[in-house]
Amino acid sequence: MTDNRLRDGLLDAVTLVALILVLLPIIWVFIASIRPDADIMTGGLIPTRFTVEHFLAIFARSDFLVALRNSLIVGVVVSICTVLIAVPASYSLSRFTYLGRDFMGFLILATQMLPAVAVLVPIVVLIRSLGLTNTLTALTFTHLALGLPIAVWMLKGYIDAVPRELEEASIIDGSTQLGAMFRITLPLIRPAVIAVGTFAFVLSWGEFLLALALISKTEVKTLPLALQTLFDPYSFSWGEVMAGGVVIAVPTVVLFLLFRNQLVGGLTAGGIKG
Amino acid sequence: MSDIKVSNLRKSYGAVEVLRDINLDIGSGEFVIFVGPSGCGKSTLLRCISGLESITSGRLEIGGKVVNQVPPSKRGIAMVFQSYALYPHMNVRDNMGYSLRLRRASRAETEARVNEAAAKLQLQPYLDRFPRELSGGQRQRVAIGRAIVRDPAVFLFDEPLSNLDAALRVATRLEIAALKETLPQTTMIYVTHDQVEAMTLADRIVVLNAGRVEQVGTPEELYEAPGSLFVAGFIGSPSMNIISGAFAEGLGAPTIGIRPEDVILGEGPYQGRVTHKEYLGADSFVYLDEPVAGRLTARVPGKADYPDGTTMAFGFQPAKIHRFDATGKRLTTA
Ligand SMILES: Nc1ncnc2c1ncn2[C@@H]1O[C@H](COP(=O)(O)OP(=O)(O)OP(=O)(O)O)[C@@H](O)[C@H]1O
Ligand SMILES: [Mg+2]
Repeated sequence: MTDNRLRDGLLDAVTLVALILVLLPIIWVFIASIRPDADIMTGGLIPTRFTVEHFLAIFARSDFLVALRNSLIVGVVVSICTVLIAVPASYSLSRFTYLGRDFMGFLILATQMLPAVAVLVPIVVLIRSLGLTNTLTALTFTHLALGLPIAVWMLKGYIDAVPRELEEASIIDGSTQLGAMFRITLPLIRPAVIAVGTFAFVLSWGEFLLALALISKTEVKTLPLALQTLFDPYSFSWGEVMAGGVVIAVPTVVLFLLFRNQLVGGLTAGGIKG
Repeated sequence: MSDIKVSNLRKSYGAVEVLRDINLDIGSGEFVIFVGPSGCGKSTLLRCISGLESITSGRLEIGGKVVNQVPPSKRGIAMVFQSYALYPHMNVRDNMGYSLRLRRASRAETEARVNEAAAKLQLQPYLDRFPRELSGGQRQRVAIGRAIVRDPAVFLFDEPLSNLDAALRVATRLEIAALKETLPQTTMIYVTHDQVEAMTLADRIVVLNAGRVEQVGTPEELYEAPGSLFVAGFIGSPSMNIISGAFAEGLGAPTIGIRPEDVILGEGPYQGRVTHKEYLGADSFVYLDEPVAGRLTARVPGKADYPDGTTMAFGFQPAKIHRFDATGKRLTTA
């Protein structure tokens, strides 16, 4: 009995420590973004004075606004394209049998074995020879390539879990195979589709390395790059950097809150057996 | 017109031949049951008829039309799956109306037909519920309702009751029997493991064995005159006593079969030792050991009051003996 309580207490403590480790920097960023610069380095963790000047300052910078727009464009396009490509691709891998299917599935997974850094140089060379450096198009395509393999495999797992009999019932009821996919399977894996779209957006939104390698002009910089330029050696403000960090974090948090129920949903319950 | 004619149907998965040369004639409005041991190809044959599975070779006709290349939805069939396969994201009403919506039926017509089917199956209180909010029996009825709504010419069932408990299975079995009465024009094909379902529901039973049709006949024919040793052993519970060797030779055939209820205990030319008894209420099974024949089962009414180990006389009426030749075929003349 006491033994159990001790163990529970220990586990709770560990969880708490982990949570603090994860949350502290984030909380610190949020708090710092609304404190006067003078307090950030000197004051304690509890803020005493508040200000919105950092946010006003960064939103007054045109390069930051351009970067915000660029990030939104690339993120939304990548997210939509990921869904549009990953859904049919994973459906085909899950439902149809054809020559080379398993090998293709393996290849898609194999791309994940190399870290992004390892393919960075070839990608940069490739984009250069295509004359696409300093374009959002280049970023869109590379971000797509980054997220698609995981998206395909994740969706494939969900589609595998939808019983084939549901589609067969739909086909007997008068739909085509494609109709069954749209009317039965897709609605059932909607949470996963939304998760994949969100994941692609977040991935592209925060991606720094490829952007750094491919983009140098201010008009096509994305937020992570713009954030880096905030570290200006001549007029440096911790507060503005923190405010920039918050702006980068917000969409992710909002997306998560928005789709929380979808992401945790389990819809398949009840259709099959008792 | 919804008769089904299967000619020389074969089905292989790669090198594995699952159905071999199936020939069947199923009349319009007939209730036919497929039985056979697990893995013999019942589901595969049903799925070939439905069109979910393509046919490797042979011909399938429904209503006088060759439908080998016709997609499932154009064959005029409805299917009830073992797992029910209700659409989890639709309520009962939408599940049942799904096929009509696909056919672009009017709202009013869909509503009317769903209500009619729901009334037939006592499903009105559940129309707005989702499948996950229903019991197993209710789900089963929705699955049947979804099939009825389409007004199919052919009704296919793949072990529809196997997920229900014993009591519900009996109740649903009676419902299916009643359903059959209300749909006299509809041909029904039903796959089951359950002997009682097969014997009580079927107009005719098709016994499948390792991808072949072993015998086709009314429940009575199969029970009274099984065409082969396989059918003899498969139909009837407890299964028929199969005896070969000297004992059988003595009765005029390489192998003989005798149903447990045809074994007469207490009188007769043979002696057997009681090894075990099972009391089932209305009757009892008595297991006997005969030196030459081996182990035999006898079915006696009520309770069997013989202590284990007693040796008893037994025998059987000559007319009740089934005789089979060395290849397992029934010998018609005794
Ligand atoms: N897609 C497939 N690929 C290869 N073999 C298959 C496939 N589907 C079924 N089989 C084989 O075909 C045979 C018949 O299967 P089927 O499902 O028709 O059996 P069944 O009579 O319905 O059995 P049960 O009573 O257990 O449901 C089995 O031996 C099975 O292994
Ligand atoms: Mg089966």
